Amino acid sequence: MHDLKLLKVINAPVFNISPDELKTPACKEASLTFLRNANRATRILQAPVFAAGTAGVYQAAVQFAMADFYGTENPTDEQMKIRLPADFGDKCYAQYVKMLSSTEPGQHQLIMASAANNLCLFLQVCPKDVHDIFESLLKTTIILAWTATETLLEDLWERALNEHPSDLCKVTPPDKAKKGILSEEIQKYGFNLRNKMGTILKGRFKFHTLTESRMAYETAFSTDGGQVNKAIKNGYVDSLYHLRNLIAHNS
Amino acid sequence: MDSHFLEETKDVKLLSDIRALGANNPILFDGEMTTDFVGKGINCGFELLKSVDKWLIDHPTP
Repeated sequence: MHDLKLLKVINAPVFNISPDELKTPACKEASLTFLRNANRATRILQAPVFAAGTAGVYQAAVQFAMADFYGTENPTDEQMKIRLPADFGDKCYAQYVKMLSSTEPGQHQLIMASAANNLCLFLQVCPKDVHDIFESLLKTTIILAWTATETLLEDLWERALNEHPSDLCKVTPPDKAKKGILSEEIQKYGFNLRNKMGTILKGRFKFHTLTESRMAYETAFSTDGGQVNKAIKNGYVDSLYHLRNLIAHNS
Repeated sequence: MDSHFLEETKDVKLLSDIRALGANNPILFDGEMTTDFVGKGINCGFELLKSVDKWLIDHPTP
């Protein structure tokens, strides 16, 4: 069983965009779904460590509550025979909430690091099935991260064309048979295509394939779109796409 | 990892270490590589958002 290096997931970023960072409605709206999906991926990535950290804090809370009840951190066997009160569970929980709310950010990082270390030790000796479950969570994160990216690619392209059809709608779809707009599509929108061009044209491309997504952006942003196309051609986008496909089809 | 994956990713430099494992060998996922691919991959999405935003601002609708 290989080392899952769970200590590293503590540094997984939490994504945010300040309200002023994006100005256009198309990008502001597309960013909301993307942020939600992206942070879901990193939360899944950190879930095992957070679970272990939470369990560690709760264990400390129980020890604190017991010390408070017995008046010592190391009760004797005789003291341990005293029955715990019925509301002891509530006291433990209250202590746990108190500890969580008073935890400084730096302390929180230490708790998570300690939890990750404990998990790594556990994973060295656990059954292989358990180890595989933890590795599956890592793979799931890759799938979720690609899903977030794929959704953004389609959503952003559609919204950008809806917002700015005059320059962006000079698209050449890979399927030449679908060139032009069908009368049924015009009818569907009550003969009013204002803010609908992206919605109509997105069906011309298969956004679940990276090649066609890139083609869609290259054709729409063929003028002055250097930075747009540079972002979509980054090797990390390729990596997520191919790893996701490998995991999904080959697992 | 199959031969299809190796062929499809032959131009993706970031996956060269993984390709080096060779066909029919499993990719061993760990927290370090997953955090790297997920974090930097998602950041590309933010770069795309910012660059499309800038493009739309620089090209106001007539």
